[in-house]
Amino acid sequence: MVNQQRKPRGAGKLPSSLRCRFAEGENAIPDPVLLAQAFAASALTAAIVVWLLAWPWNAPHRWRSTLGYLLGMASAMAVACRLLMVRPHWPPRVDQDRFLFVLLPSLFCVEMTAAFHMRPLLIWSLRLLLAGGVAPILLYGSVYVSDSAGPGTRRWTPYQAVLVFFMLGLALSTVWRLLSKLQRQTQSQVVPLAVALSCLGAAATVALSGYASIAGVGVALAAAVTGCALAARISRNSPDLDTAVSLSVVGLFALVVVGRYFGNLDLGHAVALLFAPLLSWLPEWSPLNRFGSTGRGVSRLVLTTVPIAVVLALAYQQFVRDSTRFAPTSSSEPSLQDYLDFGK
Amino acid sequence: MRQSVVRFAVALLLAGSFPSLSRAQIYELDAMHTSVNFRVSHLGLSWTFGRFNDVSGAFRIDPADAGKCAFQVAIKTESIDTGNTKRDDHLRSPDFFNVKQFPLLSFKSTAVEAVKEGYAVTGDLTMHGATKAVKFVLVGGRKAEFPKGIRRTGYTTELVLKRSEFEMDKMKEAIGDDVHITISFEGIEKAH
Repeated sequence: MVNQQRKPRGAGKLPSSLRCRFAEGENAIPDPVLLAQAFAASALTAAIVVWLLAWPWNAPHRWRSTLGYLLGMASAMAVACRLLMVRPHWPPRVDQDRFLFVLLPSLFCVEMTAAFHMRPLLIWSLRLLLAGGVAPILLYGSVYVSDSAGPGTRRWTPYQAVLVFFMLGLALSTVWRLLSKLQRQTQSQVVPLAVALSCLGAAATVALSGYASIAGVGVALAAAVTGCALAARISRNSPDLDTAVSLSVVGLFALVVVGRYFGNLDLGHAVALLFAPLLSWLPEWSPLNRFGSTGRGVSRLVLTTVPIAVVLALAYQQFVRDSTRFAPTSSSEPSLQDYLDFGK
Repeated sequence: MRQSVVRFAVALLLAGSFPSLSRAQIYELDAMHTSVNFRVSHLGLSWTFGRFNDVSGAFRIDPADAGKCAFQVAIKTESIDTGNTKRDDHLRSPDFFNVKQFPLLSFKSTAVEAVKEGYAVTGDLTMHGATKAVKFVLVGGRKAEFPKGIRRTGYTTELVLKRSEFEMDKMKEAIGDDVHITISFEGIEKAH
């Protein structure tokens, strides 16, 4: 029988160099070159939008800079999703769609509210409320919390579900609060960059753990936050990056949760990825605090990178082990790299 | 245990839906003689074959009135099997079947017509959280008593689905959009 493979809808609308290329083998990882291109385009978009909203004023009001960040991040994510052909669906039935259509807008509303009401109690009440809701929203309707496979099939009892969600909410709140505090204390662009780095590491690790399409969302997140940090760097008035930290922390948490509960992300890897950015605190306390701001900034990035690199290396080793375990031994058979290069 | 609960619920549902029909026969799927196989293009070069190992369901046959026939099937997506563990794990992930979110693939008929070969069945197929109407012809209907005292009948059908229509649209460049499915099943008549 002759196979008549149809050309994917929409693929022709993009320049060939930017079309999503996936390699399929024992697993499927998006093309790294395309990921890099999407990252650059997306970060640039965020930077331009943020800079444009901050530029005409010497000291923009907090709500305007927050709006700039939100618009910048939203447009950057839209650009990255478009280039990487991440196709969200409505109604949002899966974790990625719920992240893009439910969680991000909720986060944007909370951050916009925070821009108008400066009382920390109100801001953190809203953020804690959101932190408690992230995991239940991502896992909504899944086998963990619903009888979707038939009566009595849910994996967690209501009590277990409450306990798990409480622990997850606590973890997110802790990381969010500590990184936000560090950001306010240091007023440095390095904190959101450290979390963006963690997002990239988490996306790559989750992709290697069997959930390849999440890589696009992770790159979009990291690029949006990097663009904001870049804009803050070149801006004369250096607007507060608290909003970018919020987006990146919630995004990092979402990546880890979906990787763990929908993919095969190892629990230890998940914990390391989520808490890695907290190592940015070390230069505040250790002998590293004798360094200048640049030295402390570099050390924050290095300290964050170490656990991420270790986790990524372990995940990659496991990926290769799993792939070769089922790979044919004959040299004429395709290797993993052959699959990665297919279609280029 | 869970399997039998699902089967029982499905059978009960079907039986309860048509309580007044005395000539109709209700069958429960015989898992040992039921197979749901599929094939999908790989890079446009070859076919990758697979199957689902956990299928349950029930159906009702009314020889006098095809309109009163009904078919219902539930497939556990976790049971996908292409003969390669790593690939199966990937097929279970959110890139494809997303089995933690959508553990069941189900079909419920909405209309049945008698045709020369058997029955033309229209129904709702729910896969990956999306429900679409599908139509196929069930060929068969011969009956046998095997082993003695156990009355059974069986049907076979083939259909082609576009996975993207069920929002399963990742990696269509490498893995075909068209999924060719072959279903063959036997049912054991339930005692009245």
